[in-house]
Amino acid sequence: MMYKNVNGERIAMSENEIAEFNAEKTVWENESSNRKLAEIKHLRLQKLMETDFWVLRGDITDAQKLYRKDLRDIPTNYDSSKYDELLARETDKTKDNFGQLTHAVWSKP
Amino acid sequence: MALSKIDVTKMITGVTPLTNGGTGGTSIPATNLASGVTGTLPVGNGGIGIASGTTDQFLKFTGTTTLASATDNAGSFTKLSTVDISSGDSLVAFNSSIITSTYKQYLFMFTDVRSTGDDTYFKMQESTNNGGGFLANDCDWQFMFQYSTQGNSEFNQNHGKNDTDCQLTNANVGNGANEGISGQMFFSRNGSLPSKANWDVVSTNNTNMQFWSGAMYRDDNGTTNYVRFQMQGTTFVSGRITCYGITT
Repeated sequence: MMYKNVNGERIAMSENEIAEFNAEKTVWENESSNRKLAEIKHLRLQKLMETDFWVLRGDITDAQKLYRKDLRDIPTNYDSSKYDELLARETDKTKDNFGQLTHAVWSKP
Repeated sequence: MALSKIDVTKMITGVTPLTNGGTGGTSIPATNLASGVTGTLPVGNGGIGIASGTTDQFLKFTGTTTLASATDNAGSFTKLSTVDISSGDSLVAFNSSIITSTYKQYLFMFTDVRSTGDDTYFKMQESTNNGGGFLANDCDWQFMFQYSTQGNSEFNQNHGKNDTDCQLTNANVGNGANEGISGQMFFSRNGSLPSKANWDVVSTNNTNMQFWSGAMYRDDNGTTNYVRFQMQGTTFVSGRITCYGITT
């Protein structure tokens, strides 16, 4: 049994409403990897923009080149099974990097 | 000999009876207001000039010396419905008995609204036939947001055009015990004019506090009479959503 709450009254959903909800839920769950990849690409763009000045000033190091290359290659080097690892953040509030991304690919040289 | 004058201070003893125009006592008796007075005391004499009023109404002047019972029309928030969400509820709705022609603006208050699923977004949809179907592909929404953690924050925006959902947050509302959404949304519904809304909500996930400030416009000339809120692709755990009608 599934329920909706209308004006504070809990009402059992009709079969059609349940079917509509489940269909939407399935689509949402099936698109989980795409949403994660979009978030990863958004983070990647941020990191690349943060380090554009390395290139612009003309003295970029090999390590810095590799860092930026690894960022650009994320979609190639990591499949969907690795997306959660790429998006993982430090959850220990006692640590200085609380809330920061923990995967090594994000760490600047 | 006819008396021309009587010195009432010296020539009369005892009390003058009521039937003779006196007070019937040596002092003026108190008047019992509950049983000893009839009629209404006019405004000009310090009264209110009316014998009764109406429950929950106020007194107002209808002339320079007349008062009447009247509704409060100075602007107010009227609580219309409070929904305490139960675990597993798939949606929270306010139907045509709440969303009526009485009000042109509504305030929805969200208190610790929690999601069953992780990394989802909070959304609003509208119906013009009391939930029989929902307006589709006509909602423009946008919001600014800020994520913040210790020593780190991100400010950005998101938007959608011709959507069915009015998306109030990004898809990163968490489902932990201390996570969820609180805030408010003002919703404008002026007859058949397109509906509009703006909102400010705060949400949390396991590492971030997130603030969303957004607005929507639904390009439809139907008259919305049903509003529903959902967590995309999942159900609610708990929380409260309260709907107020606003008299402006």
